Amino acid sequence: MAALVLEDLTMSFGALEVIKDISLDVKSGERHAIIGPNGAGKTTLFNLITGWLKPKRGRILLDGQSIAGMSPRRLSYRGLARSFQRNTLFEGLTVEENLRLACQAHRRAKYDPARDRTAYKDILEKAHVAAETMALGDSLGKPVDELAYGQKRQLEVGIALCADPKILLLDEPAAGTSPGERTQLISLIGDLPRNVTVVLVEHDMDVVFEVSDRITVLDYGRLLATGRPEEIRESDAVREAYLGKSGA
Amino acid sequence: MSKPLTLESAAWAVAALVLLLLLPMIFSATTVDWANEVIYWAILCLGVNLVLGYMGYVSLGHAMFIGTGAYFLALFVDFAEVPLGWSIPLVVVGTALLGLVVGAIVMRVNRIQFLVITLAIAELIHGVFHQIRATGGDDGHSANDTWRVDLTWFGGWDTSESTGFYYWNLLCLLAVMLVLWRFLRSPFGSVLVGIRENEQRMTSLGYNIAIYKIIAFAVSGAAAGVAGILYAQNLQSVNPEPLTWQVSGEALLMVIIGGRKYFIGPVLGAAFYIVVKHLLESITSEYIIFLGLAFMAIVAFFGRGIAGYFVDLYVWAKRRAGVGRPGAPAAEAGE
Ligand SMILES: Nc1ncnc2c1ncn2[C@@H]1O[C@H](COP(=O)(O)OP(=O)(O)O)[C@@H](O)[C@H]1O
Ligand SMILES: [Mg+2]
Repeated sequence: MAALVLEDLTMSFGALEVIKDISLDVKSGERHAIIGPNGAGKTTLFNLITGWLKPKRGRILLDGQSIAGMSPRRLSYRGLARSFQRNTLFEGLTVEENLRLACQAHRRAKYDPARDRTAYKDILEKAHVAAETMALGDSLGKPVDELAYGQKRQLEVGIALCADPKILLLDEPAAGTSPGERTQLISLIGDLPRNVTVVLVEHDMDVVFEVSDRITVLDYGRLLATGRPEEIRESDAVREAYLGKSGA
Repeated sequence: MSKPLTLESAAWAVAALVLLLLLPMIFSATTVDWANEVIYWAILCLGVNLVLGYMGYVSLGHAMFIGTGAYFLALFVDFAEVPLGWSIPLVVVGTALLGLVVGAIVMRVNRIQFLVITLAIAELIHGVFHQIRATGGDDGHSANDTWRVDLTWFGGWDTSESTGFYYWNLLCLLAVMLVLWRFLRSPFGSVLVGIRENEQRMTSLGYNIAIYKIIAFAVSGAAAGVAGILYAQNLQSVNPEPLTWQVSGEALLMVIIGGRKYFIGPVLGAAFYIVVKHLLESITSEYIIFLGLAFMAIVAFFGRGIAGYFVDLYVWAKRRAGVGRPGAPAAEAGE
């Protein structure tokens, strides 16, 4: 069953069409990678799916239902969560508080104006679990601005995980990390529970071919190909447009 | 993460409270008058800092709350002839409602627009009260009878004289601090800090940040409204002066001097500002120049304000004493 369906999706910034008639199914529980050169429209596609941008044409279906016109906030309640290409963290706060805010987001407790926030032990507990999942268990008390860059990227994903998403969209989670950090991050993502559908934008071809069930290739807003890793590797169109250029 | 209230910080709070209770016995009558002035500023600043330090928005319009708070008291008591005991909570509700309305206007604007729009609304309200004849226009209006609460039934507590009024002020300050302390440590309060740190992420996570901003502004306005009540009771009159943008600006200065990242910062800033101002006034008529220099020095050398300085001092003292436990008595706004 398809968790996420895009139908003839088109989007433009002024005259510049950055998403062109994209149709795509993401299966439930799938690890789906989206690759393509810079400016291909990957982030824009995520912004469309998560409600930050409105498509010019086409439909997006979540569990078979159109999400047209829904705000990012409402979509988060429908089980969509994302991480951002550029760190979007609560920089002045500790790792624990970053994750606690994330875990509190769908709970009625978030409107409580009187009790101490630490009284909600289950929320705190959940934040700790998310920290463990993203290998940040030892850094709970650290302010974000004291974290290593790779840890910040782990937190970026960890925050998105806290909402128990059905679909997790990760926009270049390993962007800017060192090779060691990248390996750890990718293995953490690979270990995520299988009931979460993961859509991943990533540049490193080795990584993409290793972790994904299927791969979609974008180029200048157009969908070049979708398929299993070996199909993509053998596709002439893809090789010409993308793999050839990046030398993979 | 909020640190638990330790025995040690409780001891500090008790010590400060004892000192404040003994203040009229230790210092002169003038000091008590200053303290009465400090307290309404401190409460105004606590309200300002909810928006500035916690939510990360600069309001240049909080004069509207202390000003209308004072006028509401005059209107309820002297014009609508509502008993004082009912008027006071009504003023708090009134300024909270004003906060809701203004909050609804500014909930979606960016930080620069926020500053400009809050200023504009405050100026508008200033203009209105400047014109209203019934309350004396620019001259203001003096209390028909008294606006001070009659507490003589409580062991002869006489609020009509300075010292008795000081204890009433102190009670109000502590009440406001208690309410804001609980509010800011709550899940709701933590969301305000999240808004300060990253609105995009908060929205993405599923928070309705507009609602939080509106309610934060209402709570902040209500606190400043309490300051307005004390201002009017202190003077036994109202006038448009607390509605001027200078008042909003001074409150911002006090908060920054005191340390906007600390809960107690606004109170320390208000105390420092008012005391230094009066001391300089008694020396020179050009006190404003020296006041300006003093503030520049503070901002330059103590970037995190007086509260931040005390925290550093405390940590340093601990380390020297060999305890070496990091952490501070004052809870940081962000934590
Ligand atoms: N807010 C915007 N306004 C105008 N053009 C934009 C905006 N965001 C992205 N673009 C353009 O859309 C194209 C796709 O960008 P993006 O989705 O960020 O690509 P990718 O994530 O694949 O690198 C680029 O040409 C980019 O310059
Ligand atoms: Mg991108």
